[in-house]
Amino acid sequence: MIASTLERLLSLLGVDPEFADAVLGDLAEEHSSRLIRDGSAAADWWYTHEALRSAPYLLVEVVRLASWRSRAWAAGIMAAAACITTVSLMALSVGTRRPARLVIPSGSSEHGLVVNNLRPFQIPVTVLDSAGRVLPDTGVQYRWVSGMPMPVTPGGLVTCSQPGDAVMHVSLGPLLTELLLRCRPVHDIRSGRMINLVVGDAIDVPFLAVDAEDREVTMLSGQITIQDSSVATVEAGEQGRLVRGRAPGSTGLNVKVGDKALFMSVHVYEPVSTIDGIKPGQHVALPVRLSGAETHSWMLAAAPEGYYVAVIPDGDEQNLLRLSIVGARCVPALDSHSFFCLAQHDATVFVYRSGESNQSAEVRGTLAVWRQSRP
Amino acid sequence: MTNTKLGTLELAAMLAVARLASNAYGLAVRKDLAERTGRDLSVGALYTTLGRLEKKGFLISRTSEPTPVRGGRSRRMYQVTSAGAQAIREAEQHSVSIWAGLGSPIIPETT
Repeated sequence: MIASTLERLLSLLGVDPEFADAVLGDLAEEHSSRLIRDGSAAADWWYTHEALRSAPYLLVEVVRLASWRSRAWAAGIMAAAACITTVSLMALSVGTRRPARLVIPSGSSEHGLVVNNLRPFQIPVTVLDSAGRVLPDTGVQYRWVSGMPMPVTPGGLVTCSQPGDAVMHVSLGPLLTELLLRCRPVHDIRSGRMINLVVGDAIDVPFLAVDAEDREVTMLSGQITIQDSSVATVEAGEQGRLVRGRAPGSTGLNVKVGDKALFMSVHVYEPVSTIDGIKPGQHVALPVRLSGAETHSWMLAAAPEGYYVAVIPDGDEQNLLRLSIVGARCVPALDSHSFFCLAQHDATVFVYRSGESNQSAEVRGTLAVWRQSRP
Repeated sequence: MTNTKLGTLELAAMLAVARLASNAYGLAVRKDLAERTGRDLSVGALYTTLGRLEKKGFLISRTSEPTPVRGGRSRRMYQVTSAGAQAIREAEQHSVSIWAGLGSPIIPETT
């Protein structure tokens, strides 16, 4: 409706039809792209806002270029338009929900919004009315105020090319809030291993985020999600996020920081007292305690499926257990503490302690074995 | 007499039209200006600026074929004229000359 009103107004004022076409066409084109991106309420709000914002320029231009008679005519139209606008705005303020609060998610830090993206990042601001209902955010303006210079568009698209902090002003009409933006661009995230857990145990999600100079980035904002939460779950830990084993099985864990993503496989094992009789698809964990120069061994039964065999240290301790498998064809997995093996005949798994370890102290850990499912 | 000087916004709009070449129409120019200058001009403000530049002879325009995404309306495509190109060059030279000789950082006067 606002489009046809604006069109009639331009026509009444005697604006060149081609010029009116260009203005109305631009509004229609941007409205249609906002309709797809933000939904109809937000797009309509933007159109009204933009039309009202543009009207004074167009009217002044018409008055400036027109004859005296036309100027008087246009002035009359302007007065009428001003009355209509005032009444419309009053109706809008009564009939619609008004923005009351701008809310910025805090990200991973209590003190500001952490941005790890290299690509332009949209500052996520939510507009709420006085009852706490979410409103379309059309018209929110963003402005750099102080700190590290960083480009930000009026629509809130910011580019973090180097580490640093900046203060931004986020405003919508009379609403104004200050935002501390903490740029910590992450160029890569890495993880060197599969995650092996005994049911009930938890470890920090093992990954490393690095900057352009390959230095660790510790201030991170992102998402860690688990594919099958019946096997393992992700929870908040003292330092970061923990992954906890819930039930025997395998699943995947996705880490997303900035524009970077990483996948890790997670294997959860049930505690058992022997690996004899392990079935296809079964994940078992056997406690290992080594004193002095002890070596323990177990038989790995011949099977058409493959095995994944690993030694897991207790807690966050350094892994001092070592593996050797005799009688099976094995290839190292992602680290020196695990192997993929094919045992066409019965094989033997040996667990011994690292030569670097203190021989007088007891070494504790777990032997984890996953017999893969039949194809 | 035609004013051959370019204001800051006029110069930015002229440069945007020059950069966008065959795709220089209102919406594209407005987005380009928003990205480069951080100014979110209203459609009305932009078209009055482009109209003024056209009146000065620095831009010419033509209308494109109507498109469905614009509700069956045409785009007004802008192009820099030779007078416009000359005005851009003069603005650049003017800028260079007023910056010339300033080889060190500007230090504010202390009181």
